[in-house]
Amino acid sequence: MEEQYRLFKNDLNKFLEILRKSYPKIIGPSLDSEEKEIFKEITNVNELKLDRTIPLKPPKEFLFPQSEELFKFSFKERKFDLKDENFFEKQVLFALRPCDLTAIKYTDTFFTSNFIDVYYSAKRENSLIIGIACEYPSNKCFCTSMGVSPVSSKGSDIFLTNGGTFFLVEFLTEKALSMREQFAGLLKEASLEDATLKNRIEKRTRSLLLEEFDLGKVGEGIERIYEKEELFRKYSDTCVMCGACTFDCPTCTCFDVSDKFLDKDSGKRYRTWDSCSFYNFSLHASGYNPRSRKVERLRQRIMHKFNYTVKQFNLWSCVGCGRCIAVCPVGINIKSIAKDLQREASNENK
Amino acid sequence: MAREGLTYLFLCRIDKRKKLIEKIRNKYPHIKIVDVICSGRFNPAYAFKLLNSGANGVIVLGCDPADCQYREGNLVAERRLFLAKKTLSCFGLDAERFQVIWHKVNEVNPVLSEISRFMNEINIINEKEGSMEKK
Amino acid sequence: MIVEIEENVKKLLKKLFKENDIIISYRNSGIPEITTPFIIRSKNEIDYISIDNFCVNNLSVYLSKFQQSEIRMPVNKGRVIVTAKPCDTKSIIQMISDEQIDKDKLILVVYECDGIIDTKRLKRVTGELRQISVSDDEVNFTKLSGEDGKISLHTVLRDKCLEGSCDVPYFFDYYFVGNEKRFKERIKKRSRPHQLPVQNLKNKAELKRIVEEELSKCIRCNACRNICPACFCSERCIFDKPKLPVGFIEKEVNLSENLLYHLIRFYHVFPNCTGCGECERVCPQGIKLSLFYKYINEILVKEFGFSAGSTDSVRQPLLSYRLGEDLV
Repeated sequence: MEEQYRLFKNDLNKFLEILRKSYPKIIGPSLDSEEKEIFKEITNVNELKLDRTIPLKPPKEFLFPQSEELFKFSFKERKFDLKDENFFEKQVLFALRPCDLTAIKYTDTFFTSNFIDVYYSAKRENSLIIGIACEYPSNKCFCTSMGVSPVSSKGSDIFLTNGGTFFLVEFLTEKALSMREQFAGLLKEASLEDATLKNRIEKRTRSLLLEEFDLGKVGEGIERIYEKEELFRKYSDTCVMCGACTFDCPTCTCFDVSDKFLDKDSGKRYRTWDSCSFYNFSLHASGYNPRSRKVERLRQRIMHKFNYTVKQFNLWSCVGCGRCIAVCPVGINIKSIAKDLQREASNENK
Repeated sequence: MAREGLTYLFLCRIDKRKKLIEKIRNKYPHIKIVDVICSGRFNPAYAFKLLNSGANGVIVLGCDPADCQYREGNLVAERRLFLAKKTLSCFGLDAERFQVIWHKVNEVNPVLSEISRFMNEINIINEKEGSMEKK
Repeated sequence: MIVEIEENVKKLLKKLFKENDIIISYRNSGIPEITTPFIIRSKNEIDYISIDNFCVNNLSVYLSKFQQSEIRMPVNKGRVIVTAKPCDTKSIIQMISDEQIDKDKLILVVYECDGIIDTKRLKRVTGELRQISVSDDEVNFTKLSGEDGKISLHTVLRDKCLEGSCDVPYFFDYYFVGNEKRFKERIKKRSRPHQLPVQNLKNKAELKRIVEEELSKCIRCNACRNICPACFCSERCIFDKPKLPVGFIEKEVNLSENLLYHLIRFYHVFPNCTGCGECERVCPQGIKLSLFYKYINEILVKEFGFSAGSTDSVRQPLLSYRLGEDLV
């Protein structure tokens, strides 16, 4: 049962201290030395910056790191030995916006639906997710067009909403409710007018978005769009296939597994992020590559985001955070691609 | 980190340098000798990879300018290896660990004395690094 | 000022365009402060071209043989028409010198731009934007919230434009001159004193610390390699070889492998590097890659009198030798 409380901003420091007792590592939005927004470990409440746009690097690196050791192996004296030394610290992901919360719901589905990825689940079970309603979108955000509301609390354990001098706090899951007693002294009663706070913020944030569009019909016509290469060529011509969009996307989860020998008879196996934009991604051992051209790789990426995951899990795997637009070296705008698809799909349906 | 790796010596015309190689193997057993057919074949990326993995030092021994069996191999290598040294110092690495020496094919003692000078320099660098770490 | 240049360039392109030609230019992306490259194959698309103070991309990256084989039809008899700024033309001339572009099939249309805005610097001052326009020396913008604002252009230009490195290129087919008196005034007002590279200023330990700090940020996304016009090995790149028994470089992301990656890439690229600064601009982590390129370009000028991109008849120094030169 959701219950709402007020947490006054002066008490935020004490709130974090109490959290830290159960979850030693608190990760939240902050600034680096160049005044750029990033997610990093917060040791002091003054490092938290909640009034800026979304950090460019997504929080997926705390659940699915760029480079991760899977296990160590050795062949000493004709005996084969495996050692799994992974130790996962308890951590809090603080102040994630609804787009990132939806992305975590997608990665949860991806890593646990057909086969449970132990490395991801161990980190995920040891993480507490605290969300926050979004008030500072960028001009590249389009979450509402992907069915994500800027005040949606789905996917978080605790959800905060800014009410000026206080945060409206909601405890949503079992994990959160079991901790509620520890904050007893800090949580004050919410007043009746707080019920409208979220609606007011949603209205304001929606008015700040640069544009909104409706992707309703895309699913139906998208199969036939597959053959229309000119639609995708417009964008793949200028794409340089660098992979930066996939590295900064909160839902991209492809990885590559490699072995490294540390000495003659022992070593480790590790995994690193991979990208479907790279030429080698679909290279077969025979030397044949089914996606050797740029347009084929771009088409695959777009179809995956807007079609294949819908068929597989009934989820869009684009959440409308706009990071791919911000980081693209040549300014490819996924909003334009989505709108083109929508236009083409509604023509097809006629 | 303390450099306990090997030193690598890349040289050309190994068939004519047999006496030199014997003497090096006797005096410095921890120098690994690698045959490249010509100093122009040496790709500086090998030196980068070796030095990055913890090698002690890398020496390239090539022929005198007029002496190359393939006519121009060592001439194109000159600029290439010079700029490789500058690249190392550009990234803050020890360019002194990468040395290039040019000698005629039948010279033995001048080469040995240069190699021993290089090994002494490397020892000094290693000691300095070791003492800095202890601080 | 620059509006007239855009109109004149479009008029010229409409006159020049023939069937099978390709035009490489710029257009608006849908985001107010981003102007993206645009590849045109038919005459009616020329109207969508947009030339303004946000045209930051170096279009010469699309002229290498690999990119051309991806963009053009397999048997294409047409020409390639490129609209370039004077600083980008240096990269094109260097690629011609390295025989990566067929000079006969290329038509180079150069225009004097008014300076390019650095969007990171802009965002720090204005915040998120709904609309932006530039006229003469003034930038008028509207924030997402609806507030209007105004700032002066030279406070948000990129460092490269402030250093006044706009030289008239060595060759071109068409050249659109801006207002000459204003151009010279702008160059004078903006000139910064020549800065020595960091390697000459800091001691070894300090330099090592700076390099380690910068390169530990690297996530090996390969954006710097793919956007670089001088990196034309493309699909035969040494870092893309399938994993050999003893690979050249591990896929693991840590300081040692990142250092090796940058060392090798730098060594392969620097004789052709014209200092366009694209690598530093596109890095998602904001690594200061120009630290390394500035130092070694100075050495090339000092030792060999060679400056990449200044002429297409002199080959870069590593492709030749001089007898009696005793460097190492």
